Amino acid sequence: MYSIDKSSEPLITNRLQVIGKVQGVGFRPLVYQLALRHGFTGYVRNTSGSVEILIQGTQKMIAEFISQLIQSVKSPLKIVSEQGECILYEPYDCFSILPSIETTEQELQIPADVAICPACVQELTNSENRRYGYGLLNCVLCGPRYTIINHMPYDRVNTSLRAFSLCDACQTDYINPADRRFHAQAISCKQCGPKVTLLDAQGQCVANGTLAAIINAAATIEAGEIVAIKGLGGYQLMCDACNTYAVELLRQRKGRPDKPFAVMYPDNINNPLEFIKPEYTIDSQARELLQSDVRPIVLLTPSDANRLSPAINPGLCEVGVMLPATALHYLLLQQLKKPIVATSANRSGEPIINTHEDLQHKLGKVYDVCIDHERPILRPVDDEVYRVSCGEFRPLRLGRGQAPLEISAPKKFRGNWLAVGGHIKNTIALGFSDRIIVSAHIGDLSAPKSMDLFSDTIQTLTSLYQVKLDGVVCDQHPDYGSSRWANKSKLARVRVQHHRAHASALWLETDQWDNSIMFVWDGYGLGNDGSLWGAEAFVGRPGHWQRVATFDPLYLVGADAASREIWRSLASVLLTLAPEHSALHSVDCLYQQAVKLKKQGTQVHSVGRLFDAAAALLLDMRQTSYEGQAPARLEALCTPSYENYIDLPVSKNSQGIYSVDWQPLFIALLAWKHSITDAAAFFHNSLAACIVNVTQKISLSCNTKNVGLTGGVFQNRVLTEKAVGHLQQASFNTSLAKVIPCNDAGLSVGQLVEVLYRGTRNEA
Amino acid sequence: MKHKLGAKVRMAHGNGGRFMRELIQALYGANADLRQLQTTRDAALLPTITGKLVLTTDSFTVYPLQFPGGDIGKLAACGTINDLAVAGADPLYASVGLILEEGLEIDLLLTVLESFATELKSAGVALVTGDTKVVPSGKGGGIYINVTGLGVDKSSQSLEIENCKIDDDIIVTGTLGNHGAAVLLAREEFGMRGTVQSDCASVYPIAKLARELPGVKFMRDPTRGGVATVCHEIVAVCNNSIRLYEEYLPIDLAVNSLCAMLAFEPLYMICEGRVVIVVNPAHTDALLSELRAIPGAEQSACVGKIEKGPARVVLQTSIGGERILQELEEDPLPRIC
Repeated sequence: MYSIDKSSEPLITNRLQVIGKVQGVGFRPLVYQLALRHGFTGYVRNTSGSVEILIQGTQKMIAEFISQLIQSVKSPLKIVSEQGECILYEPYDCFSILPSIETTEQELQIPADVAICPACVQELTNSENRRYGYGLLNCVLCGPRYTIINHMPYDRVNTSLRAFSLCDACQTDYINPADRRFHAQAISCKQCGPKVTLLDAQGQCVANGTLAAIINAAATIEAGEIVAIKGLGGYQLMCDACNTYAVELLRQRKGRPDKPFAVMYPDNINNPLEFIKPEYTIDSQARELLQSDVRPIVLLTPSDANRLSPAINPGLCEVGVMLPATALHYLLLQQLKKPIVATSANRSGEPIINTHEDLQHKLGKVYDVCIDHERPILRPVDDEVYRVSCGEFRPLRLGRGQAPLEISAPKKFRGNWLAVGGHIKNTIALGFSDRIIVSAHIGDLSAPKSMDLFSDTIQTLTSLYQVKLDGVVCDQHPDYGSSRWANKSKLARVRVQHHRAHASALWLETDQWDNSIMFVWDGYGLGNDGSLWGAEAFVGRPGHWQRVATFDPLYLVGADAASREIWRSLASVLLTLAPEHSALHSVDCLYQQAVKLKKQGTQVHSVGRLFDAAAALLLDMRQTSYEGQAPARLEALCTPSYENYIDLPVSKNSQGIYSVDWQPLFIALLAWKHSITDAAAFFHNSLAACIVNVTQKISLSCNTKNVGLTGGVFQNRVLTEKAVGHLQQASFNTSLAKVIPCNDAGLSVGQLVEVLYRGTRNEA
Repeated sequence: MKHKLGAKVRMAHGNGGRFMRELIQALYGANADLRQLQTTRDAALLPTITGKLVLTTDSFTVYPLQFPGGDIGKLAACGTINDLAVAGADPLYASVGLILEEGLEIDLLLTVLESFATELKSAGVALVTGDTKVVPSGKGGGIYINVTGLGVDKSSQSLEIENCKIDDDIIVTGTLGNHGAAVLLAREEFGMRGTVQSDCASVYPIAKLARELPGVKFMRDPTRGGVATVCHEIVAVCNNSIRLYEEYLPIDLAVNSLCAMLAFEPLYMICEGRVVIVVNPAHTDALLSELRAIPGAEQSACVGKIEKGPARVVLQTSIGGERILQELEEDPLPRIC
């Protein structure tokens, strides 16, 4: 039986359990091919969470096999080996891929969606190939995963492709070890797979088949109209990004006056980034990220040669750029040979739409035609977004291609925990064993659809990972949609203060500093003293963050509305500093009276609101139409070379912590005689200088050189880079979020880290 | 008003029933109906009543005691009448317990009691027993009033909350949030001329009409927590969603701008003279035209409906967005009723 064994060494049987991202990545075919090359017998099969390999060969060859296996896989693997020398394994006469078995285990990993690979692009565009012009082609290395999986193990019957049986040709590919589609679960072709069609806004079929749909849709875009397309994680809306009329039409129909649109560029596998390179400043990091499996939106700075309509990103410098992630997108862009708007199909504040029924119902008046197909998207996932800061790309939003994201915990959880995150930019996270699993972006929980996705995501992740929850951790703010959900659940509940969760999320990305200073600046979150915080500095480590610095408060009436109605922040500043200022003429006297008498409002310590006030003053803005618009525009205005700033006074307040007096900054802005671009830089410079000043004061008594910056305010590149520069000059070690967004999307992870170190102790 | 009670309430006024008797005597000419008050007994003897009895009690602590559109007396009478009326009953009798603060102006007290009596009278309610206590200066809010109301339900129609079903329409009988806004402006002394009048009124005529009309399933007065809170009570029982349409909400301009400035949601603001009616959609139009003919209910409107979905209340905004109206955890504005 052992005719393939060429050595004289004794044969052993080894059973391996391989843990890691091993399903939906072509791992079993890889094992199969490797095993054949070594002449092993045995089998490989998926279990619910891992891959089981049984090999029979010599010890030396098995060791070689394992090291080759580890080298061939991109992501880290854990291999548990159980040598079966003395166990009575029957000798196998060949090596085979066995049907999957379902097991209960906590090591399972859910594969993320992968953008189309170069080999599939070759086939797609080769008229000789069987899958030429088939918009849903994929292989063992690419295609949908997370968005089509019903449950694990990742087998076709457990996906939304279950209803589509393979034709003979596809079946041949599926069972051929030499084929790229050997055991690829999501494969299909024109004959057997889901059909691609072009529908009009009423849902009537206009064209059948990928190529007809693409040609027709491209003509629609050329004519300045709007096309919807079914992507990996949901529908998108597209129009000609160089045609201002078309962009404005989309803005008007979607009710999105200012928020920047992402733009998709044609890809050319023979000349990568052919279309992007001339139009943007781009380095190797950006190049790599754009072409990665995630195919995220990357914020880039346009060069002078940029052809986009100015309506793409009003008032901002950068543009969100991406490459096609699916065959359909690839073909459409290839047909058009120019950039198009690619924005999530949703209503403001709601999740991306993933069914045609919803698309027609909610956006029936927005698009003219829709490139649709029959492969169901089981759960919506938005595109991931990255922005560079301090020389590295950092995520602003977690999404397709990374979801669900796994991070290893520094120690084991006691029990299985769910963290429900914040209220806006919500994500949730599971903590069990020594693992943290973070969901994709869920959105603003004020919208009922986001709340539905929130509960669906909890359901999905707990069931996919087979986790039975013991407890839930939420923000201290009782009115967050997530906190209310936690309240109603029957689970043990821990509440974590907003900014401490932010600090802990960043701490997880450091070398797990023993002691550090964490600046957490954002719009606001509920503080322990009942006021709203958003200008905080903490000292310590997870479970023991001590609040050591803040800003003097601003008295705001309508703090929830203030993030959109930035006039509120400015009016509150002016009523303190310049009650005669002309900007107050347009402010209702009821608001003025309420602020003056300090009635019906709240004390808010918030750098985010100071940004709003400064933007309102310098840009003469009253309100914003999307979150973060005011600070983003202020940042875009900054004169890079302008270096003046004002030292803001810092003193201990009644609670015994340092408090920054922001008034001199606004006094200077009110008396400003130079350009507003200089004023914007002056504002950023002064805040950056303030960080260093406060750090030096704090570090005198806390004996650490480690400084972290997190919270939504540090999405601001100008402020962050200046602050980090100054801190490093003063020989502090700095840390910024790189894996988990520094905005409220990071709260769920931070909440879990807090639970890890404080147990079930609630906030004081 | 001529009386011998002195200028201010004194601690001595709290002794037994004499003060109450004197108060009644002072008011005698002004209001004949109070004659039924059995001031010589500690307990009122009521005649035999046939039908299902409906009993309610409520305490009133509103500050300030007087506000544009009413005072604590009118509020106490209407609040009690309304609780009985929306339960489908005809209000018949009331008792009153007054807790007065030493130093209260007697004239103010009499004004408040007159408003109280006037409202009871117009609803045909007899005040049959009462009590007065005086607390030392600084230990009370001027006047606190407790009222118990007794009514009788002779109708055949059931108005239980369990009747509410998917597709039913949600009707309100007038503008929202006026009472909350009026009290807030009066209380906070923003120094602005009040343009908002409280909607404080008896809804007995409205409820009496509505309960006899076909298709009417449930009525509730949206007091503390406003229309949104009534909707939460409904969804908790029927276990489906309610969708409210921002564009159909009847809201006074002045209330709207106050809410915009102070970032309040009018749907959570208290009303003291409105009814939320749940009606079978086949009867909505007929109900609305009947309601609009009643003085005080001219602005009746259909503002939403019950729909299939999780138990929650969703506001569909004028521009087509959707927002969850969360259940109130705490009363945002204490002492408004």
